[in-house]
Amino acid sequence: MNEDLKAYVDGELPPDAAERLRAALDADPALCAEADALRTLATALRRLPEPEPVGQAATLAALGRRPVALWRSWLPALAACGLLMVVVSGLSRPQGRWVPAGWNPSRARGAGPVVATIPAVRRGAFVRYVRASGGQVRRDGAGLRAFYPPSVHEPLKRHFLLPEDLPWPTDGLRVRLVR
Amino acid sequence: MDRVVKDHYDAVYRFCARRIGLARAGDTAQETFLTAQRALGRFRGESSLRTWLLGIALNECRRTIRRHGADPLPLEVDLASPTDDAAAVVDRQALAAALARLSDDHREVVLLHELQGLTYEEVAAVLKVPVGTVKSRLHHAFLNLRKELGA
Repeated sequence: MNEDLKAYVDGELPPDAAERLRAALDADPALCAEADALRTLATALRRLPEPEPVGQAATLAALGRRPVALWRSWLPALAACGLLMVVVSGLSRPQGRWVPAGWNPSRARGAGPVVATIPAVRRGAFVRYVRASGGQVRRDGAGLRAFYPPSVHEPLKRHFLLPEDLPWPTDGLRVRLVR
Repeated sequence: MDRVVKDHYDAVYRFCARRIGLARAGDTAQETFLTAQRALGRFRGESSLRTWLLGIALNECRRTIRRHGADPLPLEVDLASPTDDAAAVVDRQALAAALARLSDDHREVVLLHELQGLTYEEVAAVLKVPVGTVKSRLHHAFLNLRKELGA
């Protein structure tokens, strides 16, 4: 009953229990005085002087200084950079690269403006030359597409009698084979 | 987070001051908000923000006591005001001292319910105990306070 009395004073008893206690209070003056004493003590506690808070500004400053968790600061930025790199590499043509990663002949067909013509009989020699120079040759429709380092360009032109003004093909040299 | 600090700092500070004393209240209140900042993503709104913060404050107070062995004493506040008569001042000083002498369990329920105004259910959530335990602790805390005060 005593535990219920404090809860009753605090308004924390369920309705049916509160009703029973109210009836008991009506019939028992001593219990009523007990309830009053609990109320008085609770009121006195609530009226105790409160300490004046200090340190709010320091807390705000500390929150501003505190490095937030890695995943909340750097990771999104790193993820964004990574995504950007993937998108850019997927959309852009190889720039200055003689062996593009993931080169797809069907998608690249017709993309490069640098075209050379060599006799079909020299096809094998051309392929071997490029590969021996560290380059790559892929089939590209009826012709070939050759990727090779810039240092190979001048010797290649001389060796296969290509035009002097033929620029180094950043997107691979499209080779047309003629009989 | 600044808004949270501005809205709740006073309550957290006062709870810490009553729980562990003025000397470490500021540091502990600050640590409470730093912890809350890290944990804010895990706050699911199952309790009020104030109740959640007081739960963190309670843990920080307990950690401070473990670390520094702080022994809560009556607050070093000026209990007298110009309008108080002498008898009232004595009562309030005695009450503050009696509150400080309560066991940790009893003092916590009194601070949370009587001074912070939390319901039994909210106190139970902060302390992670059943509501019935809160009810029982409050009853015994008041018995002890009245015994100390001779009331």
